[in-house]
Amino acid sequence: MKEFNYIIKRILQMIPALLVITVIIFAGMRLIPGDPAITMLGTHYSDAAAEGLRHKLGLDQPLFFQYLLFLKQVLTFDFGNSITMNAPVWDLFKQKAVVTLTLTLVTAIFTIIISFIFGYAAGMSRHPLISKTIDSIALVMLSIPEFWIGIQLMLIFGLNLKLLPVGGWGSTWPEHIRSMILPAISGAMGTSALMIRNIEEEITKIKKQDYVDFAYSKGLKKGVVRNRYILKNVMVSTVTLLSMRVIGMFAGSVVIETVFALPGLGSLLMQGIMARDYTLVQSLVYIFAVIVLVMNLLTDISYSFLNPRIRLE
Amino acid sequence: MKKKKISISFLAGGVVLLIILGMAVVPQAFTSQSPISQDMSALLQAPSSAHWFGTDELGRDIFARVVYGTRIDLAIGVFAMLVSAITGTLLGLVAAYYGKTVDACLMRVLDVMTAFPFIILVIAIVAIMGSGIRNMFIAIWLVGWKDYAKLVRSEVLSEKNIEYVAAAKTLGYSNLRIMLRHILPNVIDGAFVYAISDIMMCMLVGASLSFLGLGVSAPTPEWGAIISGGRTFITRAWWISVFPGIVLAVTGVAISLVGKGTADMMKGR
Repeated sequence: MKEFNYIIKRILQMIPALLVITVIIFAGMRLIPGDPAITMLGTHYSDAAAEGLRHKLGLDQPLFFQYLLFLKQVLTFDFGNSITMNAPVWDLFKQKAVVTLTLTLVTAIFTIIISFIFGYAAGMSRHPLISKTIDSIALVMLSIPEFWIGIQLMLIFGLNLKLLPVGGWGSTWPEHIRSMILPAISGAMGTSALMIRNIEEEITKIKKQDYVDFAYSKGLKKGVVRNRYILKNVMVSTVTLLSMRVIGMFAGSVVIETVFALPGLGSLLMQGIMARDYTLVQSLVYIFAVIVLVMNLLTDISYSFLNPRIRLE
Repeated sequence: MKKKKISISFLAGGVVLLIILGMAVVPQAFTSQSPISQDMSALLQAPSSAHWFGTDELGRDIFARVVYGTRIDLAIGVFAMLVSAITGTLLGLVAAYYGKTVDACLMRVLDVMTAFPFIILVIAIVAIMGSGIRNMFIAIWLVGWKDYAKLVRSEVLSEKNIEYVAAAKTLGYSNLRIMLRHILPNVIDGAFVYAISDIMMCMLVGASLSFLGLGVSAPTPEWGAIISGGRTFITRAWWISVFPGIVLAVTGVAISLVGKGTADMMKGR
């Protein structure tokens, strides 16, 4: 019951935040210098066309009315049509979200594999050389720009060895997954480095806890202690970190998508920005904000499931 | 008590960082070539003794461009970090010190800010204000301060109930003096350590933005922009994009090593 109240409270708290977000996005869009109609029409400009477009966009209405219109779009999740792509924003979103979601998922899987192997090895090993080496690897991984490693992987595995597709998304699911491998590795680097450090630090800390000593002295096998007593407790902070980074991956995939020419949400946003498609950009930014807020809430709720000592208040 | 020795990694990071600083301050000491002069007789040449990092599609020397780019990339990292750190620290300090409404206001602002993913927000701000190095700074600043505010706020919240603050209040010191002279020095450590790694993050964000075409634009040598420019010629001239990335990574590692060393020394105090 307490949990339920907490969730309700958090959802209610989201409402004012979302309202402020709509105001910020709306104001931001109006702050862009120049007349959107003129920029959008570009070379097709004529006074009549501009007038028509302004009317279509509702730009000939008073500001407050325009805001209400945006608010209505936001509340009904009916964001209208993208001007440059001639399709409803919501449809575009759904279509592109598949790509970005797949990318995020594959990236997350790679991150988990890389970080647990290295983090576990570094944390558990008694040999300082192993943990030092892994620390150094993590440090390098953290400092390499993801777009740079993406280009190099593309050059090596795509262009020279021809093992994996250079870019694009393919047309069947096996192709989709294959085309995700290089982008996912590039995207997984930074987060893996952070996770390796986190897992290593946590394991070293937990290793020294009394309950671990007790478990050993009880005569439990090494593997049992490691997996049930240590690893389980490492999960709490690791899952938090991962979920935060996964949200970031989903919403911040623009760089990787640009490198590998993936038709995902990041590319869509960039296209919108470059083409000055205001309807598209403001709707996308809003959708991202909602996703982030909801995901943050889910992360907070998942705390209490992973660690019953944390009470939701 | 054993005196804490300066670690080798700290020293190595420091030396590399000094060289990079040198490249930023006096680039002409490292290369005699110009980063912008074009040489049509040496297009897309592979690395050689004349052009250590090769040349690009306009015959410009990549090594010179990387060396001259140091100043811009380092400046992005340092200044974007500084403005964010100062703004965030002061806001976090004031909010936590006064508490109540002031603090609640900051928290609500932070709530809203967290809803926007970092890179999206930066891109959106650059889109609103137009691309360019100045607007990139402003974008990173507007987004970057929140981490400092969070960090300092939580530190101040636990610090302000300690006796010395009450003592300073009893002595009749002004709030400003208590905040800046008494509390700030005690809460700054965490923000300081974060700030050093933040230089690297800001550099990476700056390079990413330039890579996307939203930051530093064409003839100006900047690492992200050079990598982006080399992408078109990746099959014929791998060296254009490889070297700036390596230098960027080396700089990042050096900064992290120095940061880690400094943090260890601060812990040892």
